Amino acid sequence: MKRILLLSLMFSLTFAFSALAQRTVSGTVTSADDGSTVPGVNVVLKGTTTGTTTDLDGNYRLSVPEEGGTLVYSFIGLSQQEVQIGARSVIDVAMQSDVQQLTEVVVTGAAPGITTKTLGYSLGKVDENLIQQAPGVDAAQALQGKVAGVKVIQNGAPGSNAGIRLRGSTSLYEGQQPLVVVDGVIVDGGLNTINSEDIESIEILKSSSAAALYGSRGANGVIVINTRRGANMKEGDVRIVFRNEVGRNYLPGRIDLAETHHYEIDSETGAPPVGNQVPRADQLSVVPYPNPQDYQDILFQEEAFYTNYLSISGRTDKANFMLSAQNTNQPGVVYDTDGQSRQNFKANFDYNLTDDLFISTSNFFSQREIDNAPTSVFFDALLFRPDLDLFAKVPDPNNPSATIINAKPDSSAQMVNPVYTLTERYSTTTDDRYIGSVGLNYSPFNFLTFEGFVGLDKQWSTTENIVPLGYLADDVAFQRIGAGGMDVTKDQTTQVNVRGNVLISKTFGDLALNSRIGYWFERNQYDYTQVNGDGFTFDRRTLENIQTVSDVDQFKSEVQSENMLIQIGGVYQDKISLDLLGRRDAVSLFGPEARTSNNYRVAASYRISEDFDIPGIQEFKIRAARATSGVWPRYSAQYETFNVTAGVATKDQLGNENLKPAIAIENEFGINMNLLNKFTLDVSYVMNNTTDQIIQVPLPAVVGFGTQWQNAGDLEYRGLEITLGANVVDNPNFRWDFNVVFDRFKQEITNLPIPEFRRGTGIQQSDVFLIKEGEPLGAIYATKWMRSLDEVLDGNPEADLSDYAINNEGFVVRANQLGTGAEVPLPYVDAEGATTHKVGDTNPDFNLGINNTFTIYKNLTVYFLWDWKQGGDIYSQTLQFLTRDNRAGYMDQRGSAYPKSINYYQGFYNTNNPSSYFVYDGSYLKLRELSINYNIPGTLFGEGFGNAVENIRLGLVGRNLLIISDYPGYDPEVGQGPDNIDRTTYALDGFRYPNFRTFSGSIQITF
Amino acid sequence: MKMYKINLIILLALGVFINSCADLEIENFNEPNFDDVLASPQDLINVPGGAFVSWWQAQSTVNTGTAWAANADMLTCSWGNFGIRNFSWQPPLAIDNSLTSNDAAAISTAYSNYYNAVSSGIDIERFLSVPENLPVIVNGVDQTAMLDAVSKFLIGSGHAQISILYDRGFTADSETDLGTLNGEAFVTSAEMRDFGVSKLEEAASIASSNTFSLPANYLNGLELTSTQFAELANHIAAMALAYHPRNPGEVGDVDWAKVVTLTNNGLSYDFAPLGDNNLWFDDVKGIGGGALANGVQANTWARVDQKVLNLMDPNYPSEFPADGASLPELTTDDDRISTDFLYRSSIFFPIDRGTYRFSNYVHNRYIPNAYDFAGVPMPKFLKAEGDLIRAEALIRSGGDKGEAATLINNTRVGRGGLTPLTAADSDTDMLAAVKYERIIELLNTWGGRELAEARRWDGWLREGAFRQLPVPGGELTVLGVEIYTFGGLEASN
Repeated sequence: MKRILLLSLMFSLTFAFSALAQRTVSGTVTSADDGSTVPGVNVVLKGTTTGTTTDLDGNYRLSVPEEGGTLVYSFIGLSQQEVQIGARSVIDVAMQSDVQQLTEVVVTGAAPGITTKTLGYSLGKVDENLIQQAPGVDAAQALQGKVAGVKVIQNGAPGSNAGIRLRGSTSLYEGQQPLVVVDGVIVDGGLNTINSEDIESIEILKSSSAAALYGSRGANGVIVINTRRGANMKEGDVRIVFRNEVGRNYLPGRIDLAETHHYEIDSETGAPPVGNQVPRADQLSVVPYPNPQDYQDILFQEEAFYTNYLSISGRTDKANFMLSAQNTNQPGVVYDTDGQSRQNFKANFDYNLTDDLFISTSNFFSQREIDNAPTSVFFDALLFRPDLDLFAKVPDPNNPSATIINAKPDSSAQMVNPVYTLTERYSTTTDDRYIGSVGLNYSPFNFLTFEGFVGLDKQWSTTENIVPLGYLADDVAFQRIGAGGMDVTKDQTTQVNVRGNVLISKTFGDLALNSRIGYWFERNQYDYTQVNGDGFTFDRRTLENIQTVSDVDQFKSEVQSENMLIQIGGVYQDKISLDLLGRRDAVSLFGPEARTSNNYRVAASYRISEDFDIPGIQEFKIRAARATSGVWPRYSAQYETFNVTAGVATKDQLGNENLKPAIAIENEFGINMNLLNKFTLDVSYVMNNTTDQIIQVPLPAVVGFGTQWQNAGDLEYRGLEITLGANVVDNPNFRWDFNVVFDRFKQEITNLPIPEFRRGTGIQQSDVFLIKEGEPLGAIYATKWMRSLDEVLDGNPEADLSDYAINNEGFVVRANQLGTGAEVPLPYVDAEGATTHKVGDTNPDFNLGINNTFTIYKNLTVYFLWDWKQGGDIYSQTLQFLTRDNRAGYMDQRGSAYPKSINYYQGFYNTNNPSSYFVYDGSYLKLRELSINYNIPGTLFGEGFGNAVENIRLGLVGRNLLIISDYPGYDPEVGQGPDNIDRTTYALDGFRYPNFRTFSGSIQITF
Repeated sequence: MKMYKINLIILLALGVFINSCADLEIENFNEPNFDDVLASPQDLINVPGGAFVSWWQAQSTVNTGTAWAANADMLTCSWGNFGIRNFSWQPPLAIDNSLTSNDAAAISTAYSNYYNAVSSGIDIERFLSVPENLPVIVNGVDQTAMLDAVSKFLIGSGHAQISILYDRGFTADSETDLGTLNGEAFVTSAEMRDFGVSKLEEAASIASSNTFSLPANYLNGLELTSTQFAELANHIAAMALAYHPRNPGEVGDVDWAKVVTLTNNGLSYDFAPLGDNNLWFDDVKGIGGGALANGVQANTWARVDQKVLNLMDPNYPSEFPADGASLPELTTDDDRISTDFLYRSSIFFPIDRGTYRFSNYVHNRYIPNAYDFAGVPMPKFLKAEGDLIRAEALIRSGGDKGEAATLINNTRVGRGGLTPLTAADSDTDMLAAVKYERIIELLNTWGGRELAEARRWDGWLREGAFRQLPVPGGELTVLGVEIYTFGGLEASN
């Protein structure tokens, strides 16, 4: 396919020839990547119009002046090369691919025949070259900072799934996770099991236009992952890649904690008593605890991680294959937890049965085990008073001759010693996953192809939470302390895709017409079972030894859809394109009347540079697209339900047979340019309006059913995306490529016909975000502490302003309390009496990613990725709880010129209600990735390895090496909760597993 | 090869089209729907099971009692959970009834749960109003009258108990078109009360004139006879009347004669379903009784307010001293100090939250070991409550004071070991004894009782404490009614 497209490209190009040469130079142009010959390469004598193109076998022949000169080899998608002719008559050139250019030809979802060159909408793509600079543990890491409009929020917990959002938000109520397609299979869930080493490219269908192929569930965009195959290799080649990476994790930052208190001390211990503490009269936290400790230094440990990877790929005349295995162990940074251990296997086979029949299969299997860290330890390690010995031993009440770590070192606190929790409790998740597909293409005629495809994604997951017999702390909900208990959760997901497409392509003069008619079927089945058991009889940690099964729960779901689609792509003179798509979906998630929905795409492009010769511009395309795509509700949304517990049914949710998909309507305009032979520019402006939002709407209480899922509300966003790539320097000994991605989105809830409501991350009292008409998704509403005297008058026009003053921190306080222990901040009340106000917005002003690759003497590559987020607020529940327990670093008043009492800070704490004091600017500049790779060519080893070694690559990789930010938490990249929570918007930081820094070394040997 | 190819294509085509028979009519595998729940008489008879759970939880969860009792200075606690801290500041704050309120659950849970029970009552009443559905025979037994009485009880008690707590609401039964309800349909709490009482009287009447017993799964283990069920209906109707006053001035407006009539056949037993730790539990007794919710009886939750302790020992401070130092044990003749209350030398509340929230006593009368309610009776309405309501009604309506004294003495003497009252005692003394008994004896029974009690006695509620709850802000907004609230020094009550 690639070859055919290259040929068509070749024939579409015309060149003027000069016949004024005095001798002939000939040669072959090959791809430096795989050694294959490259047809259609422009070969021009520098400074003249003399030139030619390579033929089908990559050969060229050109007349040049007797004195020689410089030949310039150029081809879209490959790096331009200049070669001195000298006295040579044969010059063979191996050209490097250039990720900055429009290298790709086939685009997932575009009409057949439409290439990136003529594509009418924007498409994000991350190529193998970029991914392999610093291959991450999972594929989501390959997206961060590399594509405009892509937001990735990692959770530090090993094996956890990243939150991903493509462009603006489309859903007011549910998550924004895009659809993921791996080797053609629409998979269920995220990217956390997919390893990076196998990935050849990631396409990001971020626009509704690009995702329109996926119809009523495409509105959140689609991430299309293609893994490596042997197809691009030379016939008869076999390549073996062996890679080992070993590194260390560590958490560089610490949250600033107060090591002081405001209590009278016990004269014997020098510390406040445990319980019955008496505050000092001045209420100032100025008395240091004796021997204060920072338990973060216990909780967060440096740990080593490693990855082993082996792949074998090859190609024969009819077949190609790629086999790989990856073993990775990522323990994370938390004390006494093992993190993730994962083994992945990949087997891709392609076979040309005949000239017109092609079969392809992809197979992926992953198994992993995750030793989870209980979330309570992140809380307890920060909030405990700092003068405790977490390793202190006490007599074991279960065994008088032994001692154990004290579970409750502060008997007056509800918290449990995190060291005890981590060493005595167990939470393990084991996952197995198979993703596989078989595809068959049959082309009985040149103009006709039948495609058949069957894909399967099957996942099994088991989580066991075990509190062993004899566990003495009270942070688990079992009936008897010491009896222990366990819960076991098993779930199984089966996602099946079946597709049949008919492709017809026909050329009428200058007009190439292509069409696809398809039938797609999808089925997703999910089965979840949980058993809770209370009390072990013996210390054998299976349900077999449980005394009482306290709860058994099961949830099953099934979703089926069938979809018809028709696509027509027309390309005129390889210059003007029109891409039309219509898709009709019938989905079981909706009632009979609302079951079918239609989506469409119209996309057009015009390559101006084909008609006008603009100095300095090699390629100039304008494009426009309009498309619709949808958002599905959750499985149970359409149904009327009663809750059944212990055989008793209570009304829960009113059904809605008329519920339909939310529809995103998107208009996009853009340009693509290649400038000055160095730069590529991709600019998109997008307007998206997602109507008929799917929301769980409260009903009047007397209806009995509390809620009903309804289509209600519109969410609109506008965005600008700019990608600028450049090959700044291109010398044989030094090459510098950079890529800048910029995006800026503004969004607004333009219509909300139901009461405004709060959303959060699902953890206790995290609902600081208000869904309200006129506001963006991500608006933080909270008690706002007054900072100007005018604000006093808003709520109380009669107020005597001399009664108020502004303190040294800029907050309004009562004048007679200023500087006293009674000084407290005052909440703002507006003229209408409202006490909750907008105090933040998590949406950034812009995001900017810059990646640079320096290639020095061809073999040394230095790559780094900077990621800058400007603006976007964070709500820190962590700091709010630290304030509650008088442990926030700012509460230490030693040496303060204007000391503030505990009461002052407790005012900001606001009884754990949302408070503007805990809203922080989330801007950051991160050195997200840095890698240095050195390639030792195999030729250096001579015959020592029987010429077997192609090259050896030595690498150093660092992640999250530098964070410049004013945010006082571990990392300003926050967001937590399950996939139905939009982690990229709800920037709430509440005692989660922090993102950590890694540094590693790798060796990769290619045979 | 040709044959092989054709076979492959056929296989592929089959693969696509066999799978193409998509089944788009997928049922919900998990929860039942209305048709399942009301598919047959056998199903219908199970409907009240869920409705009684909603009704129970409306007065027994973490969100339905402790915070209101803290507002009413009957219990005290510093923690911010369940609205407790915000409902008990000194001076009091207005209830945050906005859509963004963190205390929303403490305002809305009782309202929505009572209405949930009403809604199921309406479903049954509607089912029974269709002649073709009658009689309802289950396992050969005609259950029509039982279900009829239950439907009236659910509708009536829901309205009656909302009328005690909230300032307004809807009246609804099977004749109401729920689809057209809007803000204009709101009625006052007095109208809610009257509607509820009439429905309860209907329930009692049906129960009294028929013989049945409630299935054991309605009230978790209590198989009430029709007579007992009628008594329960009468009791709640009497409660709705007696507890309706929002301030001492309204106490005289109560139709005490009707209360006497209703209590003629009031509770002859303690209404106490059994716990199961699942649907049937009682956080009013657990959280209100000071236990830690997750298994340890560390008494870190609610304590008994100093005002209550001061009632038992007038020398004991009615406000906790500002220095925060623990108080000694109090001195009283009331035996219940050792059976119902427990002195704790430690106070776990942060002193920074105000010593006015401190207390050294917990009310541990009901709290089971390790918070384990499984199989434990959970008294919700005591016979004593009926006795004391009747006693007050007799005194205030000029009835038999001797009977009133006897009723009061049932617990005053029977449990407290205090001096008996006689008919010769003054009305004032007898009412003071009623007040004392109700506060001490009925503490932590049903959620909201402490508020309903405190507001009707002179000088108990602090200025600015709310005297009733507003309709939840979310509900008001759904109905297009402006949000309002109660409480705080500047707001109306």
